[in-house]
Order: sequence, then structure tokens, then C-alpha cells
Amino acid sequence: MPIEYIRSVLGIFGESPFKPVHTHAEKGGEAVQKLQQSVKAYCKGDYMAVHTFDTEISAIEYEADIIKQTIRKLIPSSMMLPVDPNDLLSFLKPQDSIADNAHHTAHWLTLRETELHPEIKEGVLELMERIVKTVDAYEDMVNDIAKLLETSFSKKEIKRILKKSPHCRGTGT
Amino acid sequence: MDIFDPIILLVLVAGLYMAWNIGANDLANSMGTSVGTGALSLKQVVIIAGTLELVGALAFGDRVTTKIAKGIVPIEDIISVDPNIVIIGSLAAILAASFWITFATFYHMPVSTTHAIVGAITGFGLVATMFVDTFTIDQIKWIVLGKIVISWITSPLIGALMAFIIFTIIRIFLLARVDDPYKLEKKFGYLQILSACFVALAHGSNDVANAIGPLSAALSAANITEYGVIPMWVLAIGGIGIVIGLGTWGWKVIETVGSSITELTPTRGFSAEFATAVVVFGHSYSALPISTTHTLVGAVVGVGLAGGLAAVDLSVIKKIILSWVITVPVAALTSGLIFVILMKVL
Repeated sequence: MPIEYIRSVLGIFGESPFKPVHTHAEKGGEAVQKLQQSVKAYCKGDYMAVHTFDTEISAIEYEADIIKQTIRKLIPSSMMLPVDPNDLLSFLKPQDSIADNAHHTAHWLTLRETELHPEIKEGVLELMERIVKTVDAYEDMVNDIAKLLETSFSKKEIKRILKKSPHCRGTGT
Repeated sequence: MDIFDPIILLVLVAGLYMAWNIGANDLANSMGTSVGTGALSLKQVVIIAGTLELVGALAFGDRVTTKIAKGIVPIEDIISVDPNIVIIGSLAAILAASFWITFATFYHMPVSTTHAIVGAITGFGLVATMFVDTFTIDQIKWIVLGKIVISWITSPLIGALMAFIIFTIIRIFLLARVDDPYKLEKKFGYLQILSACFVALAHGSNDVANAIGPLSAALSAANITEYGVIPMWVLAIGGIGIVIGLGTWGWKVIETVGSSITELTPTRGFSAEFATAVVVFGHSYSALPISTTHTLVGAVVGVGLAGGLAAVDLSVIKKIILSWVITVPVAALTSGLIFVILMKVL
């Protein structure tokens, strides 16, 4: 590549760490989707598939870790964000545990091949269904980060997003 | 002496080269934000920037040019002794500034043409005291130079404050109230056409001086133009040089800059551009040569402080301050050195 004859100061615009936060959330969702398939396979007794899913989820969890590291690198002390960088990092931690926990659970499933009691089987599948729904709702909220940034964290927008969380509505879970 | 004197022609060519550099990089930097937000296409920006830069230079460029030409080093004191010294000094200053800008650009240093030319002129003035007995160091207008240097510090700060205020108003009264912020952004796309025009106009009014300041000093020393008057055709040389720089190379820089700042939205772009233009234009009116790009950086930080940007990389500021501090003495030394050599040779 030839030397570029460019003198630019617009490096002042840093790379947004919020975009990878979104990608990272999607990885968690992907891992949970796979876990649901794995649980279904386990209940059917298809242990071969359970092992395949374990490998796949492990790969997704690894990708999520890489994204997490990228986000950390994107916020050096010289980077000014509209939020406290520590808040962003502590936000990232529970989000990261989604893929982590999915990975652990997928691995447990490979440890013992057992025919589940039908009643437990039903309960497990129901639980899994709810987890997927919860993570879907979470992803929906993370999608709103773009709009939060756009309005530069307006109170109206924050309230609208918080309403989506039953916990913040005050009804309890 | 006429304009076809080889030394005058050299000052003219070097001035054109400086103008080309200003169009190729500085103007391009200031206009890149309009492309980055998607408010304007590359072609539209080049046309707007080219036209209004020229208008700004022709209509409002004379004040800062006069300041560069004779406001720091009182050339009338030297002309009365030996006008050739001013002509050679102008050549030394414009060559020194051009060399440094070329070098710095290859190494991607965020230097300012304004700082380079002010340093170079001062360097010539200092060395000229060794060649003209009646001209002493305290005749150099240190107070004017001091005001200029202070304006280099305050202009990005004022830019930051203004952009902070403009964006905060947009945030409180518009972004927090509308139901669909994206529709608002679309409307600001139109307003950004105006702010882009204003930036180009302001840039032309302030930065044309960096290219033709030394030329007008040489022209008045050679008695080609009336002393103290900057004729339209001299301003036009600078303006056209800048537009050529924009057309031959600047558009590429706009493209590069624009594609790397896609996160900037029209409300933010408008706030930063409008603040920059007001500050730069105000300084042109006060005949103070400042760096448009540094003011723009200040304005971007202002928008960031108001919570408008996803990420602002403050490490650039350190680089700017560093190259700022290096530019002035390097340009002054080189200019003085070239002047001494030219005086020996010619």
C-alpha cells in the first residue's frame, strides 16, 4: 500500500463499544437457542446430538469471550463515553454469563445418559422454553440501546425501556 | 520589480503548493463530517466546499492575510531599509512551512498549516534582526503573536463550549421530546447542508492567509501591490489553489474521513460544524489566524461531553498538543535557516 498523504484529526471519533455489546448479547441468545435443541435431543435420548451441541455451544461461548475482550479494549481510559465505562463493564458481566451458563449446562448434559421421568422431562422442557423467552426479551431490550444512544439517554426513552422489564415495573418475578 | 521576477514567482508557486495542501487536507477534514453523517454525498460536498471556500477567501480573507503578512513582523520597518530582505524572507517562510507540512502529512501528524506559517514568519523576523541593523527583536509584535497563540488554545475550548450548548439545546428540546428521533435526524440532514456551507466559508476566510500571507508581503515589498492592501487577485490565487487541492486530492481524504466516522448523526454533525464555523468566522473577523481542524476537534469533544457521541477518543488531543508544540519552533528554525542560506546565495 502506498503511503497515504493524509493529515487527519478525526481519529477523535472513537469506535463505539455499544455495537459489539449488541453482538455479544446475540451470542448469548444463540447459545441458549442451541441449548434448547440440546435439551430436546437429550429428552429424546439422542446423545450423539447432545455431544455435537456441546461442541457448538462451546464455540459460541468462545466467540462471546472474544467479543467481551474486544469491548474491554475499546474503552481505554482516554475514551469518553456517554455512560460510566464501569457501568458498561458491569452490564457486560451478567450478559456474558448467559453464554457461560448455557455452555456449562450443555456440558453437564454430556456427562450422564439417563432416561428422564416423563414428568421431569415435561418440566425441563417447559423451563427451557421460558429461558428462551426470557433471553429473547432481553435481546429485545439490548436492541433498544441504539435508540438510547440516538436520544442521548433521554428520560422518556429510559422509562420506555425499563417498562419492558417486569422487575423494574415493580410487579416482581 | 514585477511579478515575473524569479523570486516572486517562487513565492507564488510555494504559496500555491501551500494552498493545495490546505485544500487537500484541512478543508477535506472539516468537510468530512458532512459526508460521515450521510447528509451530503461526496460530490455535493466537493461542490459546496469548493464554491464557498472561494467566496470566503475572496470576501473575508483579507483581514487574516494582512495579519500574517505584516501584523507579526512589521515588514514596513524592513522594506524601508531593503525590500529584498522581505521578499527573500517571504520565500523562506513559505518554503519552511511547506516543507514541514509535507513531512508531517506523510507521517500523519495532526499539524496545523496556521501554526506552521505563523512559526515560519516569526523565524524569519528573528533572523532578519541579524541582517538589518535598524530592526531589533523588540520590534517584532510579540503582543500580537501572544494573542494569536492564546487564540490557538482558546479557539478549541470556545468551540467545545459552543457545541456543548448547541447539542444540549437539541437534546433537551428536540431529542427528548420527539417520538421518532430518526425523523428528526433526517430534518437535521438539511440543516447540515447549511452548516457545511458555513464551515467552508469560515475556513476560506481564515485559512487562505496561510497560503498567500507571505506572497502578499513579498508583493508589497516588490511594490507590485499597494502596501497594506490585499488585492482580489491575490486572494483568488489562494482560493483557487485550495479548490484545486480539494479537487485533486481532498475528495479522497473526505471519503476516507467520512467512511471512518459513520457513527456521527446529523444532529451531532450540525452541532459540531455550526460551532466550528462560528468560532472560525469570529476569529477571521478579529484577524486572528487559527486552526479550523483543531476547533472542530474541540467542538466534537463538546458534543461528546453533552452525551451525544458513543465514543470520543481523547488520546488524539495529546497528539495535537504535541505536534502543536513541535510545529512552531521547527517552522521558525527552518525558516530562519532557509533565509540565511538564501541571503548568502542570492
